[in-house]
Amino acid sequence: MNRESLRLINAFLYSFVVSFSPIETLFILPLLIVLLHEKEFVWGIFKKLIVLNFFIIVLVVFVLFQDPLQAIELFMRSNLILLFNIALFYQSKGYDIARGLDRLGFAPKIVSVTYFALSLIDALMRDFKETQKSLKARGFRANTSLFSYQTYGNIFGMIFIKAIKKSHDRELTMQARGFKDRIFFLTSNQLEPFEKILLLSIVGVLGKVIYELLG
Amino acid sequence: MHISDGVLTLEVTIVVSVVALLGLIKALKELDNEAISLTSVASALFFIASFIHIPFGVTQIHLILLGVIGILLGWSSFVAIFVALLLQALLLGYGGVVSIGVNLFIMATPSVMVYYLYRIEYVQRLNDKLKYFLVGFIGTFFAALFLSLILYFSKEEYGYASYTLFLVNIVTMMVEGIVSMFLLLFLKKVYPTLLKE
Repeated sequence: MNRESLRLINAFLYSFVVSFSPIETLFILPLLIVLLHEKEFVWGIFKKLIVLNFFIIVLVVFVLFQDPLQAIELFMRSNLILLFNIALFYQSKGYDIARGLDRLGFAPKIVSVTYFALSLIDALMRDFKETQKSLKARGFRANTSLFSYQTYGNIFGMIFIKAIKKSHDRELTMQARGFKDRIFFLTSNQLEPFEKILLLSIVGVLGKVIYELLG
Repeated sequence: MHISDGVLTLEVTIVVSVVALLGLIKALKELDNEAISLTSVASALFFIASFIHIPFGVTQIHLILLGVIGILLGWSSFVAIFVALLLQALLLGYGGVVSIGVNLFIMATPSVMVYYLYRIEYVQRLNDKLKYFLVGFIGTFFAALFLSLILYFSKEEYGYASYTLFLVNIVTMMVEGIVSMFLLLFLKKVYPTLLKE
Protein backbone atom coordinates (compact mmCIF):
# COMPACT_ATOMS: atom_id res chain seq x y z
CA MET A 1 0.00 0.00 0.00
CA ASN A 2 1.39 3.44 -0.91
CA ARG A 3 0.19 7.00 -0.30
CA GLU A 4 -1.58 7.27 -3.67
CA SER A 5 -3.56 4.05 -3.33
CA LEU A 6 -4.66 4.89 0.21
CA ARG A 7 -5.86 8.31 -1.02
CA LEU A 8 -8.04 6.58 -3.60
CA ILE A 9 -9.40 4.21 -0.95
CA ASN A 10 -10.12 7.15 1.38
CA ALA A 11 -11.92 9.04 -1.41
CA PHE A 12 -14.07 6.02 -2.27
CA LEU A 13 -14.84 5.07 1.34
CA TYR A 14 -15.81 8.60 2.40
CA SER A 15 -17.94 9.14 -0.73
CA PHE A 16 -19.66 5.79 -0.18
CA VAL A 17 -20.40 6.34 3.51
CA VAL A 18 -21.73 9.89 3.02
CA SER A 19 -23.73 8.95 -0.11
CA PHE A 20 -25.70 6.12 1.40
CA SER A 21 -26.04 6.69 5.14
CA PRO A 22 -28.27 9.01 7.15
CA ILE A 23 -26.59 12.44 7.56
CA GLU A 24 -24.39 12.61 10.69
CA THR A 25 -22.50 15.50 12.27
CA LEU A 26 -19.51 13.16 12.48
CA PHE A 27 -19.15 13.30 8.66
CA ILE A 28 -17.38 16.61 9.16
CA LEU A 29 -14.46 15.02 11.05
CA PRO A 30 -12.60 13.47 8.04
CA LEU A 31 -13.35 16.65 6.09
CA LEU A 32 -11.77 18.82 8.77
CA ILE A 33 -8.68 16.59 8.78
CA VAL A 34 -8.24 17.03 5.00
CA LEU A 35 -8.91 20.78 5.11
CA LEU A 36 -6.40 21.16 7.95
CA HIS A 37 -3.83 19.27 5.89
CA GLU A 38 -4.51 21.52 2.88
CA LYS A 39 -4.97 24.73 4.89
CA GLU A 40 -2.82 26.81 2.51
CA PHE A 41 -5.23 26.12 -0.35
CA VAL A 42 -8.57 26.45 1.48
CA TRP A 43 -9.64 29.56 -0.47
CA GLY A 44 -8.97 27.88 -3.82
CA ILE A 45 -10.75 24.71 -2.69
CA PHE A 46 -13.92 26.61 -1.72
CA LYS A 47 -13.83 28.63 -4.94
CA LYS A 48 -13.77 25.39 -6.92
CA LEU A 49 -16.63 24.02 -4.79
CA ILE A 50 -18.85 27.01 -5.59
CA VAL A 51 -18.28 26.65 -9.34
CA LEU A 52 -19.11 22.93 -9.20
CA ASN A 53 -22.42 23.46 -7.42
CA PHE A 54 -24.39 24.21 -10.61
CA PHE A 55 -25.78 20.70 -11.26
CA ILE A 56 -26.45 20.11 -7.56
CA ILE A 57 -28.34 23.39 -7.19
CA VAL A 58 -30.54 22.60 -10.22
CA LEU A 59 -31.56 19.32 -8.58
CA VAL A 60 -31.93 20.89 -5.13
CA VAL A 61 -34.28 23.58 -6.47
CA PHE A 62 -36.56 20.93 -7.98
CA VAL A 63 -36.58 18.80 -4.83
CA LEU A 64 -37.09 21.90 -2.65
CA PHE A 65 -40.66 22.36 -3.90
CA GLN A 66 -41.60 18.78 -3.03
CA ASP A 67 -39.57 17.94 0.07
CA PRO A 68 -37.53 20.82 1.58
CA LEU A 69 -35.87 18.57 4.17
CA GLN A 70 -34.63 16.15 1.52
CA ALA A 71 -33.42 19.08 -0.59
CA ILE A 72 -31.25 20.33 2.29
CA GLU A 73 -29.97 16.79 2.90
CA LEU A 74 -29.10 16.38 -0.81
CA PHE A 75 -27.27 19.70 -0.81
CA MET A 76 -25.29 18.83 2.33
CA ARG A 77 -24.44 15.31 1.21
CA SER A 78 -23.22 16.27 -2.27
CA ASN A 79 -21.21 19.21 -0.98
CA LEU A 80 -19.53 17.22 1.79
CA ILE A 81 -18.31 14.63 -0.73
CA LEU A 82 -17.33 17.22 -3.30
CA LEU A 83 -15.40 19.29 -0.77
CA PHE A 84 -13.62 16.21 0.62
CA ASN A 85 -12.49 14.98 -2.80
CA ILE A 86 -11.49 18.43 -4.10
CA ALA A 87 -9.39 19.01 -0.97
CA LEU A 88 -7.85 15.53 -1.03
CA PHE A 89 -6.72 15.82 -4.67
CA TYR A 90 -6.21 19.60 -4.84
CA GLN A 91 -2.47 19.32 -5.37
CA SER A 92 -2.64 16.23 -7.56
CA LYS A 93 -1.26 16.36 -11.09
CA GLY A 94 -2.95 13.07 -11.95
CA TYR A 95 0.11 10.82 -12.20
CA ASP A 96 -0.32 9.87 -8.55
CA ILE A 97 -3.78 8.55 -9.50
CA ALA A 98 -2.19 6.28 -12.15
CA ARG A 99 0.31 5.00 -9.54
CA GLY A 100 -2.52 4.45 -7.05
CA LEU A 101 -4.58 2.49 -9.60
CA ASP A 102 -1.52 0.35 -10.37
CA ARG A 103 -0.91 -0.42 -6.71
CA LEU A 104 -4.60 -1.24 -6.16
CA GLY A 105 -4.38 -3.94 -8.84
CA PHE A 106 -6.44 -2.26 -11.58
CA ALA A 107 -6.09 -3.81 -15.05
CA PRO A 108 -2.70 -2.82 -16.57
CA LYS A 109 -4.52 -1.50 -19.67
CA ILE A 110 -6.50 0.96 -17.52
CA VAL A 111 -3.30 2.12 -15.83
CA SER A 112 -1.56 2.54 -19.20
CA VAL A 113 -4.50 4.48 -20.72
CA THR A 114 -4.60 6.70 -17.60
CA TYR A 115 -0.87 7.42 -17.84
CA PHE A 116 -0.90 8.15 -21.60
CA ALA A 117 -4.10 10.23 -21.33
CA LEU A 118 -2.53 12.36 -18.56
CA SER A 119 0.59 13.05 -20.58
CA LEU A 120 -1.58 14.01 -23.59
CA ILE A 121 -3.89 16.27 -21.55
CA ASP A 122 -0.98 18.55 -20.60
CA ALA A 123 0.28 18.80 -24.18
CA LEU A 124 -3.18 19.27 -25.71
CA MET A 125 -4.21 21.96 -23.26
CA ARG A 126 -1.10 23.90 -24.25
CA ASP A 127 -1.96 23.42 -27.95
CA PHE A 128 -5.53 24.54 -27.38
CA LYS A 129 -4.46 27.70 -25.54
CA GLU A 130 -2.02 28.53 -28.34
CA THR A 131 -4.79 28.09 -30.94
CA GLN A 132 -7.13 30.27 -28.86
CA LYS A 133 -4.49 33.02 -28.72
CA SER A 134 -3.93 32.91 -32.47
CA LEU A 135 -7.70 33.03 -33.11
CA LYS A 136 -7.99 36.10 -30.87
CA ALA A 137 -5.10 37.74 -32.68
CA ARG A 138 -6.99 37.24 -35.94
CA GLY A 139 -10.09 38.88 -34.49
CA PHE A 140 -12.18 35.71 -34.03
CA ARG A 141 -15.03 36.07 -31.55
CA ALA A 142 -17.04 32.99 -30.68
CA ASN A 143 -20.81 33.45 -30.96
CA THR A 144 -23.91 31.47 -31.86
CA SER A 145 -23.18 30.95 -35.55
CA LEU A 146 -22.34 28.12 -37.91
CA PHE A 147 -18.96 29.73 -38.53
CA SER A 148 -18.09 29.58 -34.81
CA TYR A 149 -19.17 25.94 -34.59
CA GLN A 150 -17.15 25.10 -37.69
CA THR A 151 -14.12 26.78 -36.10
CA TYR A 152 -14.56 24.72 -32.93
CA GLY A 153 -15.03 21.54 -34.99
CA ASN A 154 -11.80 22.23 -36.87
CA ILE A 155 -9.94 23.05 -33.63
CA PHE A 156 -11.07 19.76 -32.09
CA GLY A 157 -10.06 18.00 -35.32
CA MET A 158 -6.58 19.57 -35.24
CA ILE A 159 -6.12 18.79 -31.55
CA PHE A 160 -7.24 15.23 -32.21
CA ILE A 161 -4.80 14.68 -35.05
CA LYS A 162 -1.92 16.23 -33.09
CA ALA A 163 -2.80 13.97 -30.15
CA ILE A 164 -2.82 10.87 -32.36
CA LYS A 165 0.61 11.75 -33.75
CA LYS A 166 2.03 12.44 -30.27
CA SER A 167 0.51 9.29 -28.90
CA HIS A 168 1.78 7.22 -31.83
CA ASP A 169 5.32 8.52 -31.30
CA ARG A 170 5.10 7.65 -27.62
CA GLU A 171 3.75 4.21 -28.47
CA LEU A 172 6.72 3.52 -30.78
CA THR A 173 9.14 4.63 -28.04
CA MET A 174 7.40 2.40 -25.51
CA GLN A 175 7.40 -0.56 -27.91
CA ALA A 176 11.12 -0.10 -28.46
CA ARG A 177 11.49 -0.36 -24.67
CA GLY A 178 9.50 -3.60 -24.63
CA PHE A 179 6.09 -2.20 -23.60
CA LYS A 180 3.30 -4.79 -23.84
CA ASP A 181 0.31 -3.40 -21.99
CA ARG A 182 1.78 -2.55 -18.62
CA ILE A 183 3.64 0.50 -17.37
CA PHE A 184 6.05 -0.06 -14.49
CA PHE A 185 6.32 2.85 -12.07
CA LEU A 186 9.71 3.50 -10.53
CA THR A 187 8.60 5.92 -7.84
CA SER A 188 6.15 5.29 -5.05
CA ASN A 189 5.43 7.49 -2.06
CA GLN A 190 5.52 6.05 1.43
CA LEU A 191 2.42 6.28 3.61
CA GLU A 192 2.23 9.40 5.77
CA PRO A 193 0.49 9.76 9.15
CA PHE A 194 -2.09 12.04 7.43
CA GLU A 195 -3.43 9.23 5.21
CA LYS A 196 -3.52 6.77 8.13
CA ILE A 197 -5.33 9.22 10.43
CA LEU A 198 -7.78 10.03 7.64
CA LEU A 199 -8.53 6.35 7.04
CA LEU A 200 -9.01 5.80 10.78
CA SER A 201 -11.46 8.70 10.99
CA ILE A 202 -13.48 7.40 8.01
CA VAL A 203 -13.53 3.86 9.42
CA GLY A 204 -14.64 5.37 12.73
CA VAL A 205 -17.53 7.17 11.02
CA LEU A 206 -18.45 3.98 9.15
CA GLY A 207 -18.37 2.01 12.42
CA LYS A 208 -20.75 4.48 14.08
CA VAL A 209 -23.13 4.37 11.10
CA ILE A 210 -23.19 0.56 11.12
CA TYR A 211 -23.63 0.48 14.93
CA GLU A 212 -26.61 2.85 14.72
CA LEU A 213 -28.16 0.97 11.81
CA LEU A 214 -27.92 -2.34 13.67
CA GLY A 215 -29.04 -1.21 16.97
CA MET B 1 -24.31 15.40 -17.82
CA HIS B 2 -22.40 14.11 -14.77
CA ILE B 3 -24.31 12.86 -11.73
CA SER B 4 -22.63 13.84 -8.46
CA ASP B 5 -22.11 11.51 -5.52
CA GLY B 6 -24.88 11.64 -2.93
CA VAL B 7 -27.64 12.12 -5.51
CA LEU B 8 -28.68 8.54 -6.32
CA THR B 9 -29.95 5.72 -4.13
CA LEU B 10 -27.78 2.70 -3.30
CA GLU B 11 -30.02 0.32 -5.32
CA VAL B 12 -29.87 2.36 -8.53
CA THR B 13 -26.13 2.96 -8.14
CA ILE B 14 -25.38 -0.76 -7.70
CA VAL B 15 -27.61 -2.01 -10.54
CA VAL B 16 -26.41 0.53 -13.11
CA SER B 17 -22.76 0.21 -12.01
CA VAL B 18 -22.86 -3.58 -12.46
CA VAL B 19 -24.10 -3.12 -16.05
CA ALA B 20 -21.35 -0.55 -16.68
CA LEU B 21 -18.75 -2.88 -15.14
CA LEU B 22 -19.78 -5.66 -17.55
CA GLY B 23 -19.30 -3.23 -20.43
CA LEU B 24 -15.88 -2.23 -19.06
CA ILE B 25 -14.79 -5.88 -18.72
CA LYS B 26 -15.85 -6.62 -22.32
CA ALA B 27 -14.03 -3.50 -23.49
CA LEU B 28 -10.82 -4.49 -21.66
CA LYS B 29 -10.93 -7.97 -23.21
CA GLU B 30 -11.27 -6.49 -26.70
CA LEU B 31 -8.70 -3.71 -26.23
CA ASP B 32 -5.42 -4.74 -27.87
CA ASN B 33 -2.01 -3.08 -27.47
CA GLU B 34 -2.28 -1.12 -30.71
CA ALA B 35 -5.59 0.44 -29.64
CA ILE B 36 -4.24 1.70 -26.26
CA SER B 37 -2.81 4.75 -27.98
CA LEU B 38 -6.08 5.78 -29.71
CA THR B 39 -8.04 5.02 -26.52
CA SER B 40 -5.75 7.36 -24.56
CA VAL B 41 -6.25 10.09 -27.17
CA ALA B 42 -10.04 9.74 -26.93
CA SER B 43 -9.83 9.79 -23.14
CA ALA B 44 -7.72 12.98 -23.19
CA LEU B 45 -10.09 14.59 -25.71
CA PHE B 46 -13.15 13.76 -23.56
CA PHE B 47 -11.36 15.29 -20.54
CA ILE B 48 -10.32 18.44 -22.41
CA ALA B 49 -13.75 18.92 -24.01
CA SER B 50 -15.09 19.73 -20.54
CA PHE B 51 -12.88 22.87 -20.45
CA ILE B 52 -13.97 24.18 -23.83
CA HIS B 53 -17.12 26.24 -23.66
CA ILE B 54 -19.10 26.73 -26.83
CA PRO B 55 -21.41 29.76 -26.86
CA PHE B 56 -25.13 29.28 -27.38
CA GLY B 57 -27.14 32.48 -26.99
CA VAL B 58 -26.55 33.87 -23.52
CA THR B 59 -25.30 30.55 -22.17
CA GLN B 60 -22.36 28.22 -22.86
CA ILE B 61 -22.24 24.52 -23.56
CA HIS B 62 -19.38 22.09 -23.10
CA LEU B 63 -19.08 19.17 -25.46
CA ILE B 64 -18.79 15.48 -24.57
CA LEU B 65 -18.10 14.07 -28.07
CA LEU B 66 -19.60 10.67 -27.23
CA GLY B 67 -20.62 9.92 -30.82
CA VAL B 68 -17.18 10.77 -32.22
CA ILE B 69 -15.48 8.60 -29.57
CA GLY B 70 -17.98 5.82 -30.29
CA ILE B 71 -17.34 5.54 -34.04
CA LEU B 72 -13.58 5.64 -33.52
CA LEU B 73 -13.33 3.16 -30.64
CA GLY B 74 -16.45 0.98 -30.44
CA TRP B 75 -16.44 -0.99 -27.18
CA SER B 76 -13.10 0.54 -26.13
CA SER B 77 -15.11 3.73 -25.49
CA PHE B 78 -15.88 2.19 -22.09
CA VAL B 79 -12.16 2.24 -21.17
CA ALA B 80 -11.55 5.75 -22.59
CA ILE B 81 -14.60 7.24 -20.87
CA PHE B 82 -13.94 5.37 -17.58
CA VAL B 83 -10.43 6.83 -17.34
CA ALA B 84 -11.61 10.33 -18.27
CA LEU B 85 -14.48 10.17 -15.75
CA LEU B 86 -12.13 9.02 -13.00
CA LEU B 87 -9.72 11.88 -13.71
CA GLN B 88 -12.60 14.36 -13.96
CA ALA B 89 -14.05 13.15 -10.63
CA LEU B 90 -10.75 13.39 -8.76
CA LEU B 91 -9.04 16.35 -10.43
CA LEU B 92 -11.99 18.54 -11.43
CA GLY B 93 -14.80 17.42 -9.11
CA TYR B 94 -17.16 16.47 -11.98
CA GLY B 95 -19.35 13.49 -11.09
CA GLY B 96 -17.92 11.37 -8.30
CA VAL B 97 -16.08 8.18 -7.41
CA VAL B 98 -19.15 6.29 -6.21
CA SER B 99 -21.36 7.38 -9.10
CA ILE B 100 -18.61 6.68 -11.65
CA GLY B 101 -20.31 3.44 -12.73
CA VAL B 102 -23.57 5.29 -13.35
CA ASN B 103 -21.84 8.09 -15.26
CA LEU B 104 -19.92 5.48 -17.26
CA PHE B 105 -23.19 3.80 -18.24
CA ILE B 106 -24.79 7.15 -19.15
CA MET B 107 -21.90 8.16 -21.43
CA ALA B 108 -20.25 4.99 -22.73
CA THR B 109 -23.41 3.08 -23.66
CA PRO B 110 -24.53 5.79 -26.15
CA SER B 111 -21.00 5.71 -27.66
CA VAL B 112 -21.27 1.97 -28.32
CA MET B 113 -24.83 2.43 -29.63
CA VAL B 114 -23.60 5.08 -32.09
CA TYR B 115 -20.78 2.71 -33.14
CA TYR B 116 -23.31 0.02 -34.13
CA LEU B 117 -25.79 2.45 -35.71
CA TYR B 118 -22.97 4.00 -37.75
CA ARG B 119 -22.11 0.63 -39.25
CA ILE B 120 -25.62 0.00 -40.62
CA GLU B 121 -25.48 -0.01 -44.42
CA TYR B 122 -28.38 2.44 -44.75
CA VAL B 123 -26.61 4.95 -42.47
CA GLN B 124 -23.39 4.57 -44.45
CA ARG B 125 -25.25 5.62 -47.60
CA LEU B 126 -26.45 8.89 -46.03
CA ASN B 127 -24.97 12.23 -47.01
CA ASP B 128 -21.75 12.84 -44.99
CA LYS B 129 -23.02 16.03 -43.36
CA LEU B 130 -26.24 14.41 -42.15
CA LYS B 131 -24.45 11.22 -41.07
CA TYR B 132 -21.85 13.08 -39.00
CA PHE B 133 -24.47 15.40 -37.50
CA LEU B 134 -26.41 12.32 -36.37
CA VAL B 135 -23.25 10.82 -34.81
CA GLY B 136 -22.99 13.81 -32.44
CA PHE B 137 -26.74 14.28 -31.97
CA ILE B 138 -27.64 10.65 -31.22
CA GLY B 139 -24.74 10.17 -28.78
CA THR B 140 -25.89 13.12 -26.69
CA PHE B 141 -29.57 12.23 -27.13
CA PHE B 142 -29.12 8.80 -25.53
CA ALA B 143 -26.82 10.17 -22.82
CA ALA B 144 -29.46 12.77 -21.85
CA LEU B 145 -32.18 10.10 -22.04
CA PHE B 146 -30.27 7.70 -19.76
CA LEU B 147 -29.45 10.53 -17.34
CA SER B 148 -33.13 11.48 -17.12
CA LEU B 149 -34.34 7.87 -16.76
CA ILE B 150 -31.82 7.10 -14.01
CA LEU B 151 -32.81 10.23 -12.08
CA TYR B 152 -36.51 9.47 -12.63
CA PHE B 153 -36.23 5.93 -11.26
CA SER B 154 -33.88 6.89 -8.42
CA LYS B 155 -36.18 9.09 -6.35
CA GLU B 156 -39.75 10.32 -6.79
CA GLU B 157 -38.58 13.88 -6.03
CA TYR B 158 -36.36 13.93 -9.14
CA GLY B 159 -39.33 13.56 -11.51
CA TYR B 160 -39.56 17.19 -12.66
CA ALA B 161 -35.78 17.59 -12.66
CA SER B 162 -35.41 14.59 -14.99
CA TYR B 163 -37.88 16.01 -17.58
CA THR B 164 -36.29 19.45 -17.38
CA LEU B 165 -32.72 18.15 -17.73
CA PHE B 166 -33.73 16.22 -20.84
CA LEU B 167 -35.40 19.28 -22.40
CA VAL B 168 -32.45 21.56 -21.54
CA ASN B 169 -30.09 19.06 -23.17
CA ILE B 170 -31.89 19.27 -26.53
CA VAL B 171 -29.80 22.39 -27.18
CA THR B 172 -26.63 20.45 -26.30
CA MET B 173 -27.68 17.68 -28.73
CA MET B 174 -28.01 20.20 -31.58
CA VAL B 175 -24.69 21.96 -30.87
CA GLU B 176 -22.94 18.62 -30.34
CA GLY B 177 -24.35 17.40 -33.67
CA ILE B 178 -23.13 20.48 -35.56
CA VAL B 179 -19.63 20.56 -34.00
CA SER B 180 -19.24 16.77 -34.45
CA MET B 181 -20.25 17.17 -38.10
CA PHE B 182 -17.52 19.76 -38.72
CA LEU B 183 -14.99 17.77 -36.66
CA LEU B 184 -15.62 14.55 -38.61
CA LEU B 185 -15.64 16.35 -41.98
CA PHE B 186 -12.25 17.81 -41.00
CA LEU B 187 -10.92 14.37 -39.98
CA LYS B 188 -12.23 12.82 -43.21
CA LYS B 189 -10.39 15.44 -45.25
CA VAL B 190 -7.13 15.47 -43.27
CA TYR B 191 -6.90 11.92 -41.84
CA PRO B 192 -9.28 9.74 -43.90
CA THR B 193 -7.90 6.38 -42.69
CA LEU B 194 -9.10 7.15 -39.17
CA LEU B 195 -12.78 6.83 -40.04
CA LYS B 196 -13.43 3.16 -40.64
CA GLU B 197 -16.46 3.10 -42.89
